[in-house]
Amino acid sequence: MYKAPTGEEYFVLDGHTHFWDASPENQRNIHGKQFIDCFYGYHSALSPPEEVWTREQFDKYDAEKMHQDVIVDGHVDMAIVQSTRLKDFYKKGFNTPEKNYELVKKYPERFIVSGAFDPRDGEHALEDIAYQVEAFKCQGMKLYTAEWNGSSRGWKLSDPEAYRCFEQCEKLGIKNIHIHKGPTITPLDKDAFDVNDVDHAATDFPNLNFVVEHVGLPRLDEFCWIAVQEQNVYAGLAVVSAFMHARPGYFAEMMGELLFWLGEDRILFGSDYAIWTPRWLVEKFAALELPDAIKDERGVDLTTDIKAKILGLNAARLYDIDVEAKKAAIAKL
Amino acid sequence: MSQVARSMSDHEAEVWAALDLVCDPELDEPITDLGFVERLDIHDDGSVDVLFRLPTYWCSPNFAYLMASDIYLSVGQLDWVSQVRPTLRDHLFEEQLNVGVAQGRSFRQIFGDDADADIDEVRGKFRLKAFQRRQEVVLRALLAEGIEAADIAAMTAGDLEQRPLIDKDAEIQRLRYLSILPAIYFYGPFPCREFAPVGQTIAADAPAFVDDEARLLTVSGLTKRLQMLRSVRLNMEFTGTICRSLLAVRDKAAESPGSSNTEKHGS
Repeated sequence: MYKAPTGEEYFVLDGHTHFWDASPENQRNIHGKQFIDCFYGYHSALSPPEEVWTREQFDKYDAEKMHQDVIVDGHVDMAIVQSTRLKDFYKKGFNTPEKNYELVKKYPERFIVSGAFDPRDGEHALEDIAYQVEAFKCQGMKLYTAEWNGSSRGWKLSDPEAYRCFEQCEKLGIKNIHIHKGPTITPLDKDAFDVNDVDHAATDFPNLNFVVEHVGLPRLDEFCWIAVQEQNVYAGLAVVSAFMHARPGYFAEMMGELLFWLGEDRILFGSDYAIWTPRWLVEKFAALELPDAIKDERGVDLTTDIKAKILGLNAARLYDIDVEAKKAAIAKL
Repeated sequence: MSQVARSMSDHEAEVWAALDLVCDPELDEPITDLGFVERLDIHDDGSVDVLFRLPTYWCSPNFAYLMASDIYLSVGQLDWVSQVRPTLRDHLFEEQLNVGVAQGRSFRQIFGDDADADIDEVRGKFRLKAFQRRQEVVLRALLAEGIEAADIAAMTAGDLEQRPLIDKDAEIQRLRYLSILPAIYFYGPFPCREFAPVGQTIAADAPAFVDDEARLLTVSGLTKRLQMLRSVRLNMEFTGTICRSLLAVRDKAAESPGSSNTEKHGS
């Protein structure tokens, strides 16, 4: 629970965290080094100076440190740990569901693992989903459509192979699909993070929730357009929330847009730990006031009740967490 | 760059001026302002080497290609230049891009089947975004100066040419907006060229503010248009903030002793 200096209390569910090993020993090639270099750039560029880690810390951290940063110091009650295998870049993978599950074993009340699958693996992908649900109690999946696989330079949620995986998710009780839709990067000229494929999948799988991480930036207009049509599309604030320190005006304007288009029930807080530590993000978000110009123009506000939804209650609803029961369980730890 | 500027020869100044015209397509800002150009070498035989770096190894290669080929074309316009060699460093595809651009090859020739988009389409798409971004800055500046929406909607291109803006950044964008406006009139929403066809221009009494299809904006349309333009700006500011922040971090790391980063040349 986070208790703000002004007295309000918030149940915080961090919808987007990582538990990675990007150490030089685990890097398979130059891509592995460049990948974590890029993350470290994001980390040092947008964190408040006192929150910046050394490079060695950032390369690899253990379960105790993550628990300390996120849960003990970070005001977070529960966190979703996202999986991204990236075996082409890292020998043992980057943040695999296997590794993430260590956190659940150690801190079962605190962490939930979101698995990963690649529909281009065909039949194996279906088995993989079943295995992860069984072995790691996955309740969600994190998808990364830009990943290379053999001669393929990316895939789309609307691919027939992806649909078979979504059917498998539905069958096994997985409800939440987190999709990385962020800044344009390789491969090549294809925009691997184009958001339009979300529209198709969300229409055809109304029982699944599609959490678009990084709100599809820089494709906000297209993302909002889709989210207005599809009630099962959600905005994941990871990366956007980090603008609260360096560009608070930008973040406020962005919140105005998301509240206007999606409303207060479909926005989920995420720190993207360890790119950013949640403590300052939670504190700044709880203290945030929308400027009058945005309130007037968009007819929206960011009240305490709405902040509570975004910080935790919306994600708790998606993950079927009984917040009062959870608070009681946590109090006994 | 400032040290270079102080001791600059005429040729150097001309090359920098040519580089000022090359923009990052995604951000619509000159690569020189963004600090992408790391080093310039002018040789006795009239050839020019331009070394540039993008904020990350993963920056989209189509944008990298557009910048490299625009450097090639823009610097190549100078009559004393015999050859231009843009060199991209620290990028996933630097080899393919550097060799390909120096040989004047197209994006598709460089990347073959992996490149399925038409690079001119990409160019057009980002030129449209540049038009939108510049338009928003000008519209908001006029509103901030107290001009009524009805008067803004009634402005002609000629009026706007005669109407400097108080805000410095907005004034720069007013000039840039006027320079890109003809492209929308002549080529519509996917302007494949930045400027109007040679020898043609838009009439002074053409509306100053039009939508992507070059249709006049009405007073009520203006409010809606501004909402749409806001998304375009938020997208570009997102990318811009990230690019700038990443560059700042890298430059800082390069300055500190014992850093593992590649040394920074030139400036």
